[in-house]
Amino acid sequence: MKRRRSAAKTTFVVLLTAFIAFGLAMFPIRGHRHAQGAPPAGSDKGAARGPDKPAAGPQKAPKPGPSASSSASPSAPAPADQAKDDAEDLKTLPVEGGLPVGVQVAVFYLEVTSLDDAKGEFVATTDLRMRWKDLRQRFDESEEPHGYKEYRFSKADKKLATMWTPRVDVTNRVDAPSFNVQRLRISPDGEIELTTRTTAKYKIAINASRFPFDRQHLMLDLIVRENGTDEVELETHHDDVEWSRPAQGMTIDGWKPGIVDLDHSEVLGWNGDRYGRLQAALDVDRDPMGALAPVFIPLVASLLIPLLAVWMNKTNEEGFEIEAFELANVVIGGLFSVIALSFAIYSAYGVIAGGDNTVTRLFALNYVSLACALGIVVLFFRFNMPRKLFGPYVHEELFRFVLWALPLLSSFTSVAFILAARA
Amino acid sequence: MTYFMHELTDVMVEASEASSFKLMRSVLTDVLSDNEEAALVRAELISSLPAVRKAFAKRDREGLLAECKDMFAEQKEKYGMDEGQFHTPPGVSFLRLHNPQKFGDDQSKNRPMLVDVIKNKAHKHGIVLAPTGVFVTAIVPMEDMDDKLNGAFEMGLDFAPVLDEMKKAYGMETAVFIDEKALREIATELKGDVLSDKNRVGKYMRYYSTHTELMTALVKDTDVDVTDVATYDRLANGSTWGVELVPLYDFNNHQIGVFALAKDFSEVVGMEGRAKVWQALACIFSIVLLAGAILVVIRGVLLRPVASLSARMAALAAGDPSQPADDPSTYCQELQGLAESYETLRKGKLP
Repeated sequence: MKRRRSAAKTTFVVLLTAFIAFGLAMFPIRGHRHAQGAPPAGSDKGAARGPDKPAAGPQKAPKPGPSASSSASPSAPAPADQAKDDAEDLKTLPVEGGLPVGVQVAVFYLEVTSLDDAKGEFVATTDLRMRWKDLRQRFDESEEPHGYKEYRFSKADKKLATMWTPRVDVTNRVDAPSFNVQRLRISPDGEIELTTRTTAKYKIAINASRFPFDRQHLMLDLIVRENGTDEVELETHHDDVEWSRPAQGMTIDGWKPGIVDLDHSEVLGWNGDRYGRLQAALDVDRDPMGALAPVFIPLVASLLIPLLAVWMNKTNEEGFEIEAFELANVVIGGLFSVIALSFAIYSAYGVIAGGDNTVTRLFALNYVSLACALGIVVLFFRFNMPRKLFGPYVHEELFRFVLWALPLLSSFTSVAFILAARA
Repeated sequence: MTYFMHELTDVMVEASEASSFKLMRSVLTDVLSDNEEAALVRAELISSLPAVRKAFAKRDREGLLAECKDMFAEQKEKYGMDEGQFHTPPGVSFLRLHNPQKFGDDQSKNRPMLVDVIKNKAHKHGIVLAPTGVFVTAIVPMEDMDDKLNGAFEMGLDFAPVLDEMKKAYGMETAVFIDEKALREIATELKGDVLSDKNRVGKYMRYYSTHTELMTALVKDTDVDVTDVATYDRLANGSTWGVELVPLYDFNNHQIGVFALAKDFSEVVGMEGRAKVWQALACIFSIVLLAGAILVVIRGVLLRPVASLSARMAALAAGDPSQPADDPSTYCQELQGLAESYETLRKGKLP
């Protein structure tokens, strides 16, 4: 028993000695690192943020060492740290001018390369101008002969990386822009003007209910990310409205460009947060003449087929001169031609394939006219129903009425569809 | 029926437009009123600050500027307060916070509002045409430390931010037109290119517009000369805009210009147009179907059978009994007796 207790005691003493020796050996190393300005382990973040931005929790507070207070105390950071702090501060929201920070937005449409209404996409080169005030960027007017500091392309990117910029996303942009350059101007009073020229493809919703008199909106949907409306607000002033326009002489094949509309709204976030949104849209009106030949002439011509089936026949004492099946063939032929026409038009103008618009209405009118013609062929020509029910005189008068009423109503309905779209 | 539906549609659209115009006018009135109040509150607050009163009482221009400079810069930057001016009786400019270098000019001759305030010791607010432009202004009397009147202080707010905010909040395009003669006479320190030919609209100058291109198309020379509220619809850029012209009065109820308010009425006008098209189509359908029914009934049931019987009767009278009457069931009840009588006569003539 005695020997076993002695061995345990020896082991304990050896372990304790080793622990103390390790502690003594390590202690000066930690003190040395701290003395050279490096933050103490576990407190690097707290030291980097500077005195006005303390560490998140007490567990990360710097541990004072023997030499720490002389050169690297948290209340007096080293010059390098101070510079880093200042740089970091410039990237925070500029609150000196009050909140929310007003970011003036304007969009100039330099060129619209293509507009694919079937896919609901357009490719455009735009200049997006954002202006805001950051008093931390003020400088003495005499420093710059031009009256402002200007940075272009990569220099602008570098400068922007060192300062706060509003994070505004264009949410309807498809893929990455094929061209993207920036120009940054800083005025002596701290006004920042960031202009971004971008060539990109954008997705838009096409409303073809008034085809071919429709107006589409080539929209850039701008939404502020990260900062709610209490921090950043998108604004448009008079000069932004004046600046927002299409380039002089802009042409878009099959479309006529109008004015740029700037519409403000908000996007809901989590917990009742709201984010600023601005939709800049270039209004473009379709050239209706472009759709006249390929769409409306065949559509109106196909309306004549059912009418022909009715007009071809003539009454006589026994009923009608032409056999019903011959005229039924005309109607069935007309049905197939309308189906073929609908395939042709819908494949060329995918945008009008779905929904309610002039073309779908005219197709509906075609089908209704064909159904009416088929009904006349069957009831009048084949079974002589009116003659059987009301006698020969009513039968004749009814047929005469159908001969002029059907084309008249068909024509007026077509015209009404077109006028309703034009209204 | 179609006519009444058409009239009803017109009445509904007119009522809707009238309601929109009324709302536009109310918005303008409220916004101007709010801004006048904002200017007044600021003027009252600044004029009551002891340090300001003291410096003004001592006629210490430097001290007064030092006291107010930063405050005014902030007000201008954040809230669009463009003018701040201290006056000594009877209306001499003592200190312009927006232009400290200029002072000493007597404004009592062309600033009746200022004279009124100093004379009556009561604040006033309203729209004024001042040397630097048109402002929503409030003027308050200044008192020394013994509460004796010793001048006035005014704060003026530019129109531009007010109208821009209105556009953002309500989607209304606006323009302000000011009488050119008055503008040239009074606004002698006006900056920018307001007084250029491109801004001339009749006897007015377009002082400010939220969308110059659009408002140029919407308000022409012949429209703008109004003395009462006027409304009309006009097509611009493919859209129908409802335009309302509201006379702009200064604090003294003297018309100095016109406000033009415009809102896109395309939706309402489009709906009206579509409703009328469908009504007209329904009318045509009704006429055609009614005409068809009348023709078929009158001609098919009455006239044609009577004509047929008449022809047969004539043949019978001429001695030809070979044409029998049609099946009696094909005639209407009233003609069936006649057909039967014809048939009896015809059979009697048969050999």
